[in-house]
Amino acid sequence: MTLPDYREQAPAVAARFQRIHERPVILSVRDLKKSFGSNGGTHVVFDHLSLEIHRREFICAVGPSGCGKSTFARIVAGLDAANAGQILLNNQPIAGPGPDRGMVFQGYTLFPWLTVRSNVMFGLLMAGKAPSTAEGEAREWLDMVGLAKFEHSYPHELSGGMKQRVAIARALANNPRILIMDEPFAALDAQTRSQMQNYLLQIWRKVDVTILFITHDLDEAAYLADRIVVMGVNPGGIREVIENPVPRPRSPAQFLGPEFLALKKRLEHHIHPPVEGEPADKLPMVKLTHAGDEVE
Amino acid sequence: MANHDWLGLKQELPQRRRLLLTAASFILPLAIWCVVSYVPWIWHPLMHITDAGSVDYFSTGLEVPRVTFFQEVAKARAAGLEVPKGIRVNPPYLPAPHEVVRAFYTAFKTPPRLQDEPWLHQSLGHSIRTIFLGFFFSSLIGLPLGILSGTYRFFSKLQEPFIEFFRYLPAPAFGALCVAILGIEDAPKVAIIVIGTFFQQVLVIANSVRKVDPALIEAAQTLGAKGWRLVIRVVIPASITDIYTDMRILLGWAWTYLIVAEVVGTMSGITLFINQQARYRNFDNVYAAIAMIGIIGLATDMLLAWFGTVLFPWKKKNRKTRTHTLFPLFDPVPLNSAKPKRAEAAIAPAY
Repeated sequence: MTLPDYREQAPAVAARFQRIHERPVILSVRDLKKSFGSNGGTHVVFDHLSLEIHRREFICAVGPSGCGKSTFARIVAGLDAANAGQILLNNQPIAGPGPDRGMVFQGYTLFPWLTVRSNVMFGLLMAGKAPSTAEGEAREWLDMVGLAKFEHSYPHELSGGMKQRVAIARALANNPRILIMDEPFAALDAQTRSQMQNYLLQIWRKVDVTILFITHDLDEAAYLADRIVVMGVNPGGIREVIENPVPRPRSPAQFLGPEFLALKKRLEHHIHPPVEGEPADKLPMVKLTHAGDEVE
Repeated sequence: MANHDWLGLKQELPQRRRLLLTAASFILPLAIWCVVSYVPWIWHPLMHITDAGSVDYFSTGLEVPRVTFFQEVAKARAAGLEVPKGIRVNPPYLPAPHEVVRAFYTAFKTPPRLQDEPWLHQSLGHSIRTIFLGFFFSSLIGLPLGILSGTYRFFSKLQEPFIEFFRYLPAPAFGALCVAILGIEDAPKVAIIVIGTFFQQVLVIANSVRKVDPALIEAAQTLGAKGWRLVIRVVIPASITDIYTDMRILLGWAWTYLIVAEVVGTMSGITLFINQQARYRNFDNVYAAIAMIGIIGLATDMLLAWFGTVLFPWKKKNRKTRTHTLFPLFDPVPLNSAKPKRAEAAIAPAY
């Protein structure tokens, strides 16, 4: 399992990672431990999980279900508590959820009783901004996600993709240091999802924000990320942090490029490791037969 | 895709059929009533004497069982005496539909027999006032307690076990106690309605508040909301439509406690009217008064349902989650509700 040495193949990619590493570390995760259950029967989701994310970096975390990638996102957001370890945001330990860490959830969590614009204004008003200021800023953010026309609509009038765009605008309006996205496009159909990925890249280019993106879709991770954090189960934790060799700006045309395929292969290797022992074609065949069927 | 089966399992019917069935749900019982009232050979167990003939204890206008009547007819025939005449009628406690309809009008027009007795509209007004006061006082305490209980486990554990116990105590059982404490006027009646409504109210509202999607609260937290602002700005708005529906249902329950409440102390309101009319054997008025309670209740509920759609314009226009409304007329859901416009396609995806 070796990737082509993309640092030599593509100096632009190497230079990009060089630039990223020169930026300050915005989120630092140290020896994070999370376990569930009590009274002896504990299940350790991950232990000694450490990660450093640089400013304006796009990090995707992938892994099979149960690897704790969503739990990790929720701990960073402050919605769940870790059992041990430390998370520093701008060198300050985090305590509980706060507007400095925006979150976009998989389910549509727009407030159904507020119009699209009021949803975006919510965080601004919570921060104590004057309604007139908040209104102007909300409008700018809606413009950014291309939904200025829908400012007076209610969430139920929007499609799934539009709702998630409002959710992104709502989270970004608070000017967070990091945007945590927990499988935000998983509920969307394939076509909308790829549009949303393009939107996200477009927005990310214009906004000074670091993104921690949780997904189970390897293509999505390969398409979006600077670095991909591959997580595993039993034992849980980070298996590898892969620097994405696919050059930016990204486009769907790259899906068949050599870097993309090599990266995909490597990710697949982690997610679906080849099983030792019996090859698949030697598995005994289960025959579902009915009386009278001619079975060979 | 469209299924034109009348009995499609859990399938919405076309509007025309829904209207038809709504009409039928009223017309069918009415039709049964009409048949029993107007078709002389169905039921009509009494004979209304029009000519007493030779039977000495018969008199014109008397109503006797048919069996008795025909025995007397047979006896008179055998004795060669004058045969009594009569027509088949229903008992006085089953007036015909047109009599009840007429009573709707005449009951309001007829002055009370005694000077100090209330008119029908006064009785109704009295009942509505009792209901309103009872429901108001119950909600005044029940709403905040329910919301607190649904929001904080602390309040839930502190009050709900006792309320669970108390709600099994039948409100009428407190009648004597209420009279002893509050006198015989309206206060004990209002108290009965409060007792009947309050405990259910706290539990039902607490449940609705507990159903708030935790993801909404989490989303608000990541947007910087905390403490009481989380309750005011998220928990309450997120559950307000359910609370509103609960209140509508609870108001219906309050009506069922009305009749019990009104016999506590001095009988009053619509119950007094119904009892007196029954004593005077004006059964058409009794039916009219009972129907009026139904009509007022239904009309209030429909009005509130409509008002709900005005108050909560965000209420998801989705058949599966809609609250029950009787008439498609007031159905907040337009039948072929337009699908949300897709804007994605309009925006250039090129990147």
